[in-house]
Amino acid sequence: MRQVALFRLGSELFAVNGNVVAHIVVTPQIFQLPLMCPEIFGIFVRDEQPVYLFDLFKVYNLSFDLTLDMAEHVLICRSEAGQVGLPATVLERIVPVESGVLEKAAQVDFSQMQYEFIFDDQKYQLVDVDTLVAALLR
Amino acid sequence: MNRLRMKLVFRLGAVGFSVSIGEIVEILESHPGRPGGENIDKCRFLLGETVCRRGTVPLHDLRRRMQLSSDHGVNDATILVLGDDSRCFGVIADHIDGIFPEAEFVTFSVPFQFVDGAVPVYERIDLWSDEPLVALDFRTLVASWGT
Repeated sequence: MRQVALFRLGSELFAVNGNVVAHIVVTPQIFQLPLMCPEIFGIFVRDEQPVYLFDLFKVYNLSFDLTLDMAEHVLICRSEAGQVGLPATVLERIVPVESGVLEKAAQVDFSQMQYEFIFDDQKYQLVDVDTLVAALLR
Repeated sequence: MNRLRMKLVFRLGAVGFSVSIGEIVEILESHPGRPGGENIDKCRFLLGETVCRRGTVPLHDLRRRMQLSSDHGVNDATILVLGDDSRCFGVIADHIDGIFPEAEFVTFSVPFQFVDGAVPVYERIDLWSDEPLVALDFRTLVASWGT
């Protein structure tokens, strides 16, 4: 069954394809590496593998600053570049994709049409992990 | 134990670095060099010179190359002189954790999509004691100085 993970970061609502989510963990110690893209908030280690943590506020040009207090959890997702993390304040629920509606959203910075997942009258910005990774090359 | 199959771990501020012992020529606890003056070349991240084995080698600013903030001066720092058969240069370390067997490190390539900037300064990280370290490579670093 195709599922969608719904989560909140600060006051913003996001959704991600549940099939790419490998783990959901309490945020471990985050390290900074020099010369990373601004969209990469930091890096942590899980199961002896590096996980690069995205700053979704920077990705979507939202005028908030991501803080560690805000990122209480991380959704660890599989991507073409390895494991990446999406920060979450609260994981709201995981629902079947058929329980909501996909709608086109406004175009954001990386020239690809974005979608919103409408569930229970709430709009969740749908995060496509591989699109985020590819967009860093722009 | 083969000393060439070991790595040195050092820090600049909160960021950890690893470098193979085979690329280290000397570790200088004091700085008998000539920082500043005409030897500063910001375009090549050059801080000056340092004395090493009866000669002088360029002292490069790894902190600025990595875009890290600076709290320490040059004179109270430890200098790592890195080199191969053809050339050497020094970089500053705030703190040296020690020298450890390579078996303690697991190396990963940094996905190129995640790196900011056209010139690679490092291409790999080492995981060591659940901490990611910048894995320095002499030839990559030489190319990044712009010389």
